[in-house]
Amino acid sequence: MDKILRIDMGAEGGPKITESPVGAYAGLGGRALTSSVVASEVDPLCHPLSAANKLVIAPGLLSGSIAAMSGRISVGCKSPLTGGIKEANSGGQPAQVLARLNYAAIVLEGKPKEDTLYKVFINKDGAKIAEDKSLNMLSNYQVVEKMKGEYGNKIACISIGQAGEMRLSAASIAFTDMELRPSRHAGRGGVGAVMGSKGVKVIVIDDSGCSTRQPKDPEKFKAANIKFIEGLRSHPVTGQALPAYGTNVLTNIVNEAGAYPTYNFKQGRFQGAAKISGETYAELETKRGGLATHGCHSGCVIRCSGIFNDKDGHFLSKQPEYETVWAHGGNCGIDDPDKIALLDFLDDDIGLDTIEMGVTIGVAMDGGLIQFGDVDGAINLIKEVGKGTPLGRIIGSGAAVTGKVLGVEKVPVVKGQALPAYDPRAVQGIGVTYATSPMGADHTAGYAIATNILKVGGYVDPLKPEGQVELSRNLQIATAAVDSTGMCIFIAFAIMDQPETFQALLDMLNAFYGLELTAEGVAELGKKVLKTERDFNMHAGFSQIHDRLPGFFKTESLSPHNVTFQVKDEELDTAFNW
Amino acid sequence: MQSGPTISLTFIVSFGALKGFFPILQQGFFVRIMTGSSLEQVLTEQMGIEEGYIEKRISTIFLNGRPVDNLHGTLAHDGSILSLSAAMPGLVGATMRRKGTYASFRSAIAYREENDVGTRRKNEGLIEVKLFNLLMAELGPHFFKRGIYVRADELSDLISPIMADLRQGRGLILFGDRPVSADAVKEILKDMGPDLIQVFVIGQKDVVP
Ligand code: SF4
Repeated sequence: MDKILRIDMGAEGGPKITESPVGAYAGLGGRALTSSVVASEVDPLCHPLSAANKLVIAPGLLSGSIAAMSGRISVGCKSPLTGGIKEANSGGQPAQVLARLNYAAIVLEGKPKEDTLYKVFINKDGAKIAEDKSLNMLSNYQVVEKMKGEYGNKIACISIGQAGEMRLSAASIAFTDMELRPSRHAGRGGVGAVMGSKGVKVIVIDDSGCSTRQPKDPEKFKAANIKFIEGLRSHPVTGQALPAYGTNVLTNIVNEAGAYPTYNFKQGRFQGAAKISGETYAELETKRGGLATHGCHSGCVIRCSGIFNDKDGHFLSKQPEYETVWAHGGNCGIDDPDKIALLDFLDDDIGLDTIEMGVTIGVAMDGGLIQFGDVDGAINLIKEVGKGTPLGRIIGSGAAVTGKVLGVEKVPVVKGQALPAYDPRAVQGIGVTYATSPMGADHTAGYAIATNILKVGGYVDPLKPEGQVELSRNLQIATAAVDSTGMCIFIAFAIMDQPETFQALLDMLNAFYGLELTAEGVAELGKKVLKTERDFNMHAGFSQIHDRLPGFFKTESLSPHNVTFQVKDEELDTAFNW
Repeated sequence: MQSGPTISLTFIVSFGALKGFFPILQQGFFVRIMTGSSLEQVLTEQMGIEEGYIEKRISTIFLNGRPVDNLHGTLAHDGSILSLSAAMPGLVGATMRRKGTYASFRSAIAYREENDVGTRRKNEGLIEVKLFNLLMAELGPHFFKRGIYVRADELSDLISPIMADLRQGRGLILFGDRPVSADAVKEILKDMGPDLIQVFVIGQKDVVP
């Protein structure tokens, strides 16, 4: 991975492709690479949909090798949803394929002079770009089907649906899975709108004739990978809970804790939770001939995903994730697992962030557009987005815009981005992360629970309320570090509890690149990434007043435990004092 | 809901059919215990779960929806709701763990025992138990064999999806000690409404030598 592919979409005479060595970005991958490129090459004050913004797509440091879990791909840009820097990442096959083609990143820059659409094809012989108006307003599944017809089945695709083409702020970028379905998404922050603004509908990649990336020290690398896999398989979360039920195993737990935002964050428990729990989905998947355990890319050994079939045994969607089931389910008062899976499919097909869409529909329900629990109404609203009707364009612009249009006071967003599936009044520490992350409200921003192993921060008494800000900071550092390796974030559970598994990960990185990276070094990388991102946001006009939760979290108590968000603003302001 | 004289149903079914009863476990069932006992005593002495299993496997415990850190210092009361889960993913999964590194994140909702352990009088009472995720398969058969209490109307809804199997005579159903048909079970449950019924579910391999 020693070159960067740049496509200047606004070049004289049409898009111009160049390849250059990684240069100053050498040694960076995933989020570290996307955020570095955006911070040093994009004007923080530019309009996110303008020629001055850049879209950076980068595989992880170990992508394309035989390292387990190494197929995460990062997408970075200035976000049209938050107005700040954005990194959204995804599973799927493209990270592995792009890395085997030796690209550390694809950078889309400039903007086409005409309102038209392009497709990019990349293989071992290089990259080509061609105008293709026939792709106009195709959905993700349609465009991938068309690309299969043109390029065969040995490809991977990165595409946008209608939402991206319309440059809507909730638009995602789709990445195909092992079955060549566009079911994995870099969802958050409207990255799909930026790809749409560049006029690129689809990037088709084919690594035929390329071999697996080889480490500097193959023996050490192989041994470390085996140890790493053993560690993942022996841990109860990565070896059992995630494979058996996927992330939606959290529904019952979060609901039981009274932290499950229900009816647009009005209460902490949903009556119908058991009907849409991971346990229920797994049972249905097995019964209907789908799969309860499935990987989103080759080399995944946790396999938290699945295949969800309808009552007649036909593919309906991939196994919806916890956040999706919550956003379209409990948050909107919907407890029908089939309809939620259909909403998941529609989001994937039109190219929309499922969290943003579920929260937006919850806000629309609160505003009286449709009633809570009206599942067919919710399906129609998503279809409106796909059709590009005026109402659909409002919904596709996310919760903040929809709340304004409908005159709703209670709009759960931070920096314009919808809150995910954990109520910050019940789990206050996560509220600190929602408020202070440079990404806007984002549960994955402080997800890497391996702070102890990464040696970030001192000891915080787990049973005392103090120290939540410090813990959130440490989590955000650890997450930025893991995101920069390009490993799936779910490895965090095993590396938190099993120091030898974390060591195996370090050994893999060191054996691959001939480095001597330590835990402290990884944590330093995390800090550097966060600092880069915060500096960008500062120059884009963000200050401490943007690091706040909406006021109602402080004033409206959440049942059943009747709690409000208690962390003081002054404490939030210390989140990045390190 | 009344607990009145005990009426029991016993389902003797294949392991596949036994799994059909698992939704009862996540929805919640009732167990008789000596209230005023610590959760540690309830789980080990009264429910017969091994200490090592609790330590290793039941990493997340809620009492009345509040995460519990100290099993020894927390009392079960009549009407308490006790939920048990294996280790969970996600930051929030880690946050809910007993005495986990991130427990402070949810200190606002953590369970705090207000009674003095050891001074409470013990009486017989009912608590509601919920089993989630991996514990459904691991502890479910144990509870089914010991007998659980379920609201008759809820049991009727919960077993609807497996009625076809039961009707086709796959397995044996006893009402008290008398064999009954699947349709008779539906009638019995309908008549009982919200009253509690004791339910045993036993794998065929446990009764057939
Ligand atoms: S654990 Fe899940 S998200 Fe991570 S790589 Fe595997 S299937 Fe994809």
